[in-house]
Amino acid sequence: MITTRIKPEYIVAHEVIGLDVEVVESPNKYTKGIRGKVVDETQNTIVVKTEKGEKRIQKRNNVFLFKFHGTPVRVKGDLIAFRPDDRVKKGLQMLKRWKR
Amino acid sequence: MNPIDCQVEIDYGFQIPFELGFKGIICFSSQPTTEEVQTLKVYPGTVIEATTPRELKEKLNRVDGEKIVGVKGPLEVNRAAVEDRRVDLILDHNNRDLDYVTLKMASKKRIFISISIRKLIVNTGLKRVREIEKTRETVKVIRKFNTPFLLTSGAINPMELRPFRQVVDLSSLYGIDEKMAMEGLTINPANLIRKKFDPSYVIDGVILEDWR
Repeated sequence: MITTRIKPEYIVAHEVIGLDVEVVESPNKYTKGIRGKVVDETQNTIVVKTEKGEKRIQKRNNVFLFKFHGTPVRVKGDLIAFRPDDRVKKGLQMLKRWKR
Repeated sequence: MNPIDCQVEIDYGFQIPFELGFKGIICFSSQPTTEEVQTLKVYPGTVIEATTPRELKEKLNRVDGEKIVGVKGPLEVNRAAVEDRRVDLILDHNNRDLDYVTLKMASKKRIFISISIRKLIVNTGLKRVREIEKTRETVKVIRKFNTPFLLTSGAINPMELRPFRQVVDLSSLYGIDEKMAMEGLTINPANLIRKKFDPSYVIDGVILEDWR
């Protein structure tokens, strides 16, 4: 069986629904520390299912900690603030331009 | 808050930036080494001065080792530099030429633009006015495209070093507010150093860490 390991930086182009997430930095003190599983995503927000119910959190100006294929990855929300279907193309473009 | 002075060309007197409040300097000296003086970290850099894009490419091919690469030259050299992945930083100097297209490209390619206050100290009269005017235009475009920039003293000898609070205050003449100035002195240099020297660096905005 051939297995390929996805590199952690590809999270910017990857599907986030189903991943465990925690909001580690946020200008809003009520949003900081929210932990759960991503159940939905739009262009500017993600919906996180927590113990206390579903919370809609904006992507921009927040920093998220995703558990991506066993690796915890801290991601700035501005890098994933695109429509889910556009994010694959934009994420790969970003990686191609920025990565050394 | 760890301010880092990003364009220093001195071979000695590293005690002075430490006393002025900096936690690190990027030193473009003739013998770049990584060292630590008390708690001041010195990061090595290399300056490439070129007059044509071809000369720039030849000199870039000769760069070896882990060093931050800074480029000085006319407009065409700066344009070629922002398109080359090996370049980290466009250094600031008298009569530096940066146009709209170059700054836009620097934003896309994540090449840092250095803004120094040395031009304010060294120049006088009409020359100083022209330099301030040019730099204000540069800062406007940097703000528009969110181009990564570094604020620095630009010192070429220890007497030109300034405390970081003074660098922040003087940068207001360029139209840089305090928040933007602190970003140029702390966050952006840290990103550049991480990009160059941290083996776990991936891309800007993505950090690998242990799950809590």
